[in-house]
Formats: sequence, structure tokens, C-alpha cells
Amino acid sequence: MLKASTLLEVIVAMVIILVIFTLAIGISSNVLIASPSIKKQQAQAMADGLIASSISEENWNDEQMTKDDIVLEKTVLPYGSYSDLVVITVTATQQGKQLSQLRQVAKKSCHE
Amino acid sequence: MIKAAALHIVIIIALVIAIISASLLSVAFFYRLGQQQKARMDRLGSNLKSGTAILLSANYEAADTLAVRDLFEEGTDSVLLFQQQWGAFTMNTVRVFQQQDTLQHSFLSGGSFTNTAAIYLADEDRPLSVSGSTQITGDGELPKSGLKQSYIDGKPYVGKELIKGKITSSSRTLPDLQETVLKTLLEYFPDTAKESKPMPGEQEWKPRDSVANSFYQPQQVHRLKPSHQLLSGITIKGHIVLISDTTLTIASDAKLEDVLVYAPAIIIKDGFKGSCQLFARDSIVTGKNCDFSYPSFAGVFKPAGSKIQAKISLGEGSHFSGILLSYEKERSDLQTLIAIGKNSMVKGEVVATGFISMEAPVTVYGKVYAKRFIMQRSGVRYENYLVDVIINRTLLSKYYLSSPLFKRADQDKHILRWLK
Repeated sequence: MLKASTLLEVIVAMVIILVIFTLAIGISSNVLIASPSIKKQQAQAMADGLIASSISEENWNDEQMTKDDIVLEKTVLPYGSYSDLVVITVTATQQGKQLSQLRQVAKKSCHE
Repeated sequence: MIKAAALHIVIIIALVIAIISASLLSVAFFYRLGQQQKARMDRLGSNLKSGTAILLSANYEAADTLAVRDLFEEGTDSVLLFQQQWGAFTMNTVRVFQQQDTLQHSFLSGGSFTNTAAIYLADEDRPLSVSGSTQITGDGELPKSGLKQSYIDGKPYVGKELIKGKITSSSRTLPDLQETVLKTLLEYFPDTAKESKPMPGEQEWKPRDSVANSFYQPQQVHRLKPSHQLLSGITIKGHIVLISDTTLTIASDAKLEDVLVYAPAIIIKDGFKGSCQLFARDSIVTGKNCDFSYPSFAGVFKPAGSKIQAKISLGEGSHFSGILLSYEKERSDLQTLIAIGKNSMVKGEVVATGFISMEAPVTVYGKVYAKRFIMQRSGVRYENYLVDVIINRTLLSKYYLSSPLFKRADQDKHILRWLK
């Protein structure tokens, strides 16, 4: 009759622990990498705010601004054949890497 | 037999770690799902605003069907646009979608009203005379013979300035209406409608306690039978057109909201409250103390060859926010008339291609257009006299929007009201 071997027990336990920990680390790192970064969300919100303020202030000029290490570049182009419409595009970048891009068609007042 | 006490502990630890990992995965999955949905909704919201801007563009050409548009011509952002003339105003619907998410809104739009004149009187070589406590605040577009003060019933003009604003010359006619808008408006009248061809959305009128139709749905056209010429104790709201072949009476307990009503003549009983657009051929007569909220419209459109005087009569003590219009294409012997009763108030525009009669005291916040003002006092008919009338352009809300029915330069389209 085979008696319990402490060495065998410990080896099997170590192998199981190793496998489980490897899997757990793999899962948590995947989760962390795959979730949208806070920076991206911040960039999205800033781009959205810039478009909203441009429309409310009727500011149709191209602009560039930097805030919290994020560079926002706004371009305003005519929209199709509409004389009173423009497309505002805001691109948010951080160290040359694009974080977000938003586009919206806006109407210019005809009294301008 | 293997004694595995350490193995047991390891299996329990492994289970705990597996549960934590699974929870982490689920949290991450739902967080990501929420993030993706928020990103989609943000994008849809932005596209909804883009679609709204396109519909409000002066260059947008309306289609009677839903127009699908690829916003940035990249095949990723599609919007459905719908624009339809809704009475004197314009109804717009924007719908955007991505996967199972859809956003839509519907609204009435109107044109900005930047004209600073309070009064337009066609030049028929007669001056405008003011008397009593008349106050005209705003510019005046008046005949070349000008503006003067006069005595009526022994009462002089009590103000200091005859008009608080600049005076410019008017022409012999009233400003033109937009023919295309007018043509669409008149299509619903029984005398102009092609009887063999039913209107889109036409259905039999079944009297009920309430009839409602969302503006997201196609319009409903209800043709009233001669036995249903009284609308009483009923709520009618939404994307609905009511057409009557004979005189239609609307009782004070009827609630109308956003609907269009067409009839040869319309009678509104005392105390009615609502927001609707009324179109008649012969007359619209409202009772006392009626309250028409913005945006309401009452218009009589006299057909060519008609021998009666087309008339809008706003009852004593009534409030009307919107547009009162009497129209005839060619001047007839009995010109159209808008009669505004004592103690009434109009916020908006009063446009008469004929006469306007105001029974003092009357207040108008907005602009008045007329070929002639008439007034009956002690059996004497006075023409182009204003007595104890307040016309104030500056007190009209800056958010007031006019109808595309009127031809105006620089008429910027804006959202007038959200629809359901």
C-alpha cells in the first residue's frame, strides 16, 4: 500500500498553482489591455466639448489646443454643396498617437 | 491511498482564483459592453445633430419620403431624413441607427423673424391716422402720405410720438406668399382636392374620446361626415389632418394639439384652449375668451370667384399666439377681413390681404400687415384709423419663429417645437 508522499503532493500542488496563476495573470492582463483607456475616454469627452463650444460660439476657424498632454486639432470644412453647413472634425492625439476622432455637421447662421 | 491534504488546499485556492478570474472577466465584459454602447450612443447623438443641421439648411430639398443619407460618404454613418410641410410650418424627422440602437427625433421648424417693423400698411394713397392711446412701437412701413394724428369722437392722440421707430415706404400690395407652400396648403381643401384620389393616410372618421397619432408615424387624414360636424369632448393630437366638407364647430371641451383642420367655415366655441392650425375658405369665427397657444395658425383662403367676404373673427378677450392670415389671390369687391375683438391679444403676425378691424382696446405683440384698417364708430366707418390699439414689435419673443409661407430674405430655419 502506497503511503502519502509529501514530495509528490507538493509537486502536484505546485503544478496546479502554477497553471492557475498563469491563467489568472493572462486573463487579468488581457482585461487590462482590452478595456478602453481612461485617456481615450477623456480625449473623446474633450473633442465632444470642443465641437459643442464651437457650435454655440459659432467659431468656424481651424484650431489646435493642448490640454493634459492631449492635443486637439479642429478642422472646419464646407459640407457638400450646402453653403450654410460645415463639417467640424476634431482629432485628439497623445504623443502622435490618435486617441479619438469626432465629426459633426453644423449649421452656420445665415446672417454671417 | 494518497493522503492529499495539501492538494485539497491547493484545489480550494485554485477554485477561489478561478472564481476571481471569472468575475474579473465578467466585469470586464460588461464594462466593455457598456463602453461600446456609450460610444455608439455618442456617435448616434452626434449624427442626430448632424441630420438636424442638414434639415435646417436653407439648401435642403425636402423629399416626401424618408431620404437615406450617408453623412460622410464613408458608409459608416447613415441617417434617415424626412421633411414635410405641416400646415404653415415644417415638420422634420431624423432617425439614426447602428446595430440595435436607434435614436430619432421629430420637430417643427420655422423661419427667424428679424423684420423690425411693427406695421405694414399698403399704399392706397391714404395716410394712417392714430388717435386715443394708440402706441406703435417698432418701425413702420407706411404709405407715402404718411402718419398723422387725429380726433375721433372728440378724443385727440394722447401719446408723444406717433411711432417709436423709423418710417419707410410701403408698396401698393402686400408682400407675396411662397407659391409652393401655398399650393401644398390648399391641396387639402375639399374643393381643390382630387376627389377620385384619396389623400395619403386617409381613413374613415370614427368618433372616439381621443385620437392620437405620433409624428414618427405616417400622417392620418380623417374626412368628417356631415353627421360629425361638432367636435366635442374629444382629444385629438399629433400627425392628424381633419377635413370637413361643411361648416365645422369645435366645442370648448375639445382638445386639439398640433393637428390641421380644413373646412369651408370653422366655428370655435367660447373658452376653447389649444394649439392647432385652422384653414377655411369662408370664415373662422372664434368665441369669447379663447386661448390659442403657440404655434397656432388661422387662415382663410378665399377662392377666386367667391362672392362672400372671407373673414377671421377673433372673439372678445381671446389670446392668439401665432399667425392670423386672410388671403385672396386677386383683389375682389368684398376684400377679406380679420376682425380682432375687444380686449384681445395677438402675439405673432396678423396678415390681411384686405381689411383689419380692431375693436379697442386690442394689443398685438408682433407685426400687422393690412391693405386697410377699418373701424366702425357711431354708425360711421373710418378707414385707416387706429384708436386705442397697442402694436409692439419689440415685445414679441426673440424666440418667435415665422412661417415659410412668407417670402423673406435671410430666413434662417430653427427648431420651433419638439414633437412626439
